[in-house]
Amino acid sequence: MEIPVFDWALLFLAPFLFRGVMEKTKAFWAGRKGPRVMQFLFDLVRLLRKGEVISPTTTYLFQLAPSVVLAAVVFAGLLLPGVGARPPISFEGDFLLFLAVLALGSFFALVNAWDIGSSFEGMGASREAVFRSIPEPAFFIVLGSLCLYQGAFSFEKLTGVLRGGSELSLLVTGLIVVILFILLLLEGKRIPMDDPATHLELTMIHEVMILDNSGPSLAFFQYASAMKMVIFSKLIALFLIPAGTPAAVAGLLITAVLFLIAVTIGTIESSMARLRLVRVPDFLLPTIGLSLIVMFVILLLVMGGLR
Amino acid sequence: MAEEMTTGLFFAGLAVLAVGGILSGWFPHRVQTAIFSALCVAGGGLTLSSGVTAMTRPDFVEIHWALEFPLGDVLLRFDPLAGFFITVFSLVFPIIAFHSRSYVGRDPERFHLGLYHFQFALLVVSMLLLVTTRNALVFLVLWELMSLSSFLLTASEPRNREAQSAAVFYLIAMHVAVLFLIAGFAYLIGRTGSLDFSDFGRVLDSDPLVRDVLFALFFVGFGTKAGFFPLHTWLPKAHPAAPAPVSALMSGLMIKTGIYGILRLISLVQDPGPAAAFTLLGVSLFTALYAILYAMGERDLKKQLAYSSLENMGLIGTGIAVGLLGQIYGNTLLLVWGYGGALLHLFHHALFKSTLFLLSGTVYSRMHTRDMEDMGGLAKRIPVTSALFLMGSIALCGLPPLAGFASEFALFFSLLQGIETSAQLFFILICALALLSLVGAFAVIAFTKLLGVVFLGVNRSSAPGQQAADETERPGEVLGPALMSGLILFAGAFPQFVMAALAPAVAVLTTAEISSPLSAMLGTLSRLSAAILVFEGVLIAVMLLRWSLKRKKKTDRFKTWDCAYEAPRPRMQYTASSYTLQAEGLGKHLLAARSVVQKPEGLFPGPSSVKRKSFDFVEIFIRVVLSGLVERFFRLVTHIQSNTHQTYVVYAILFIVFNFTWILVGR
Repeated sequence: MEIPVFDWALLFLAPFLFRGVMEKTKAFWAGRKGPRVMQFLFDLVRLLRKGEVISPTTTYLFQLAPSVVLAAVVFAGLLLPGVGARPPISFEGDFLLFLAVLALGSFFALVNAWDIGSSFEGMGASREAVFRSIPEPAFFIVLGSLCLYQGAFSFEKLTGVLRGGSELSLLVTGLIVVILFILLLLEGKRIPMDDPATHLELTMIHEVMILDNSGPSLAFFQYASAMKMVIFSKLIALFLIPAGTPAAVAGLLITAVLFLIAVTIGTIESSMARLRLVRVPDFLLPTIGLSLIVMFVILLLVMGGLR
Repeated sequence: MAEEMTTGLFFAGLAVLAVGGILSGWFPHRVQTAIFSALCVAGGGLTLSSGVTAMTRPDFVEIHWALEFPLGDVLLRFDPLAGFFITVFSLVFPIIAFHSRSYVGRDPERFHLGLYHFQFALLVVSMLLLVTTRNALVFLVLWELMSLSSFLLTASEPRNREAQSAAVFYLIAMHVAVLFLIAGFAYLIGRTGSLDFSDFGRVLDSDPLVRDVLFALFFVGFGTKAGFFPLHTWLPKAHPAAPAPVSALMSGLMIKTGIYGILRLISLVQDPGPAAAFTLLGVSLFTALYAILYAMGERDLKKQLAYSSLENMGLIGTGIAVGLLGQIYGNTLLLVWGYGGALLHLFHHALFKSTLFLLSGTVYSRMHTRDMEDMGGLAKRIPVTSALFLMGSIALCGLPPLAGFASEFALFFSLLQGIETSAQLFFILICALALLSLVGAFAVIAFTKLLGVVFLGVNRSSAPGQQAADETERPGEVLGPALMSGLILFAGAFPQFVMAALAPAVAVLTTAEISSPLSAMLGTLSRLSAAILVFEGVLIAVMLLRWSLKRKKKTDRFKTWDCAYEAPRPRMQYTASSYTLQAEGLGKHLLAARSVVQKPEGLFPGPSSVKRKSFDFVEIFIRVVLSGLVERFFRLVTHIQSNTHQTYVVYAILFIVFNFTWILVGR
């Protein structure tokens, strides 16, 4: 198991910078100065130093959930390829483990919400559960089609700009990036699916699920959420970088893409409001349509021998 | 030597079980349950060792007693496939028998204990013999014994009306199904003139049309037992109504005999044909999706578990279909992953479904209801049960690091193996993959709902019989499920060992050479196992980190904040149906749900209510349309019977005339 320093630094330090750049972008659009770039780090340290307030309605599950969520996200990060030769953990079918581990994190986040025993948290959990389910088939269709195209079954081989250079393969790459970006917004609980800044009853999804977590539990949840965004951004970056670029160049490109994505998310958050909750599925269902297009185009490419 | 061990141990185990079933009824209640569970554990241990030896040897052991009457030669064959099923059954039923001490055994007023024990033993014995028999008539007799004993087990609560009617419905469904089995076997016996399974292969291979029609007949017969759509309606009625250990036995073990029948059929043919493969694939996928939608919308705890069983039967069927596709297209990797994944999932599902049903019995014994909306906060009253239920649910959703993930990984990976074969297959398999992922996501919704509503939060019920009492969990109630959860944890972390053990069973299903794809599969599973162990390490590390962070800090206890939630009444907590409402909306065309809404009318809000019920439209079709047709037909037939002698004399004259004409014309 190689330990490329850059990838590990990225996994653990980038969440802070990512959040910082997003907040700075939003402040820029709002004409504010905005918090420090590393403010999230200071917030986390403050939370970690505090004790917790536990409600008597909750059980051991409430105490277990933050650990499981963070462990799931960290482990998912270990499955992704990076600038090193191989990801720390890699085998055939590892993307199935990637998705399943993230699902385990969601399972425990939902259980955490139920344990609080109020109607509010249940509402957020319900929305989170159904919104999460909708793009799942899209992700599988995309990854399955890529398996056909690359003739391999592990992340290491699946990522990297599709060779061929034809318009069709560029189209496929573009569509995959769009699908992954929508997934990123969903998993990171960003506008237009969810609004991280609001704490109003009608508009919360993720925030409401962790409303009663405090101290280290809250720190774990927030850090896991930021890390998930970094992971999905890295996945997008990996699709934009041709396979076989030297490590240093790849590292620079990944950092640049992450920066761009953070700025884009900040811009989106500043320029639109969250969709009405009944409209969010309408926004998510097209990912399945896009993934079907990806599937057909890849099939055409493979049948045409344009691998 | 090993052969004697296999057969000797097997029959010794059966004998012990028979003794347990017959004799325990003669003892007083207290002793009866102890004797029965002890004998079941002993018998189970004996059959388990015989099953494991049969499963891990590549060849088989046969017993042949030549008897002409009454059922022809008794031919038993202990091949790896039979060994696999014997192992699965023998691991689970002793635990169920032990657990029923704490459930059925404590309530002799409610249950007829002697009947229960006898039928339990009969069911297990018939299941064990069923997977070894090679004689078609004996197979049918054992199948019938299985149906009858499970019918009586479902109805072993004499005063429970729901259980009685569900049991009758189940019996009727089984007998309709067995007609198809009899038809299939009758044709085969007629064509070959023999009762031996080994002779049937010739007929099945001879003509594709014959093969497909026979497959269809057997699929209907076995598929009803396994619960494929649209033959599934008996399952969500019978399993919830039966006592918890019986539900565990039926859902965890008995419905797998339907899968066994299909697998045995496959092992007899050389080339199963694309019709069988694609039909099974389509039916299985639809069953899985249909069942998980209904599981999501269910408020009856055990009915949700029953629908979840149907979903998993759909998953197993998908694996078998993929294996069939591997046979047809000559892709041994596809074959190995498909059949291997199906068998793995069958084993894992037997483990976690029986655990969950046994635990649901504990829940019922505390709350005296199966309605989730009246429960809540049980994790504080029965903490060990809730922890085991959590483990079972995580496994059932196919999440790492437990066993469910290993088999779902195998199933998903098997679908991917076939994508390079052809464009049509690529399209079909990718769509199947997408559908299965949706099923998995819905399963997460269904089981977070179940855990959340039943175990977490606060008790929604204010009825006096459902409050916390002095009710610490008895060890007998949790020991069995705890053992199985340990197995689930082990099987999740080391799937390669389980797969290696059942590999010879896969070899029975095909004549192709599978040693190299099998080692490739074991290699991938080993690397998966390493990754799962790393995950468990990461999890423990994070938990330790959290513990060390908490240890030095103060922890306050204060009521739920939740943005100034006043917690007016426990009923203000989120309900199960609200939780799944939006998700059900996604599948509303498959769910026939009816809402009766009374809105608050007038200037000052009056009383209002919402009642929501989902109906299984297949059940309505059977009840209303089919039964209506049958009734109309028999009404017409009743006109033949009249109360006058004269009509019968006319009938007799007509009959004689007809006979003479027939004979004269025939000359």
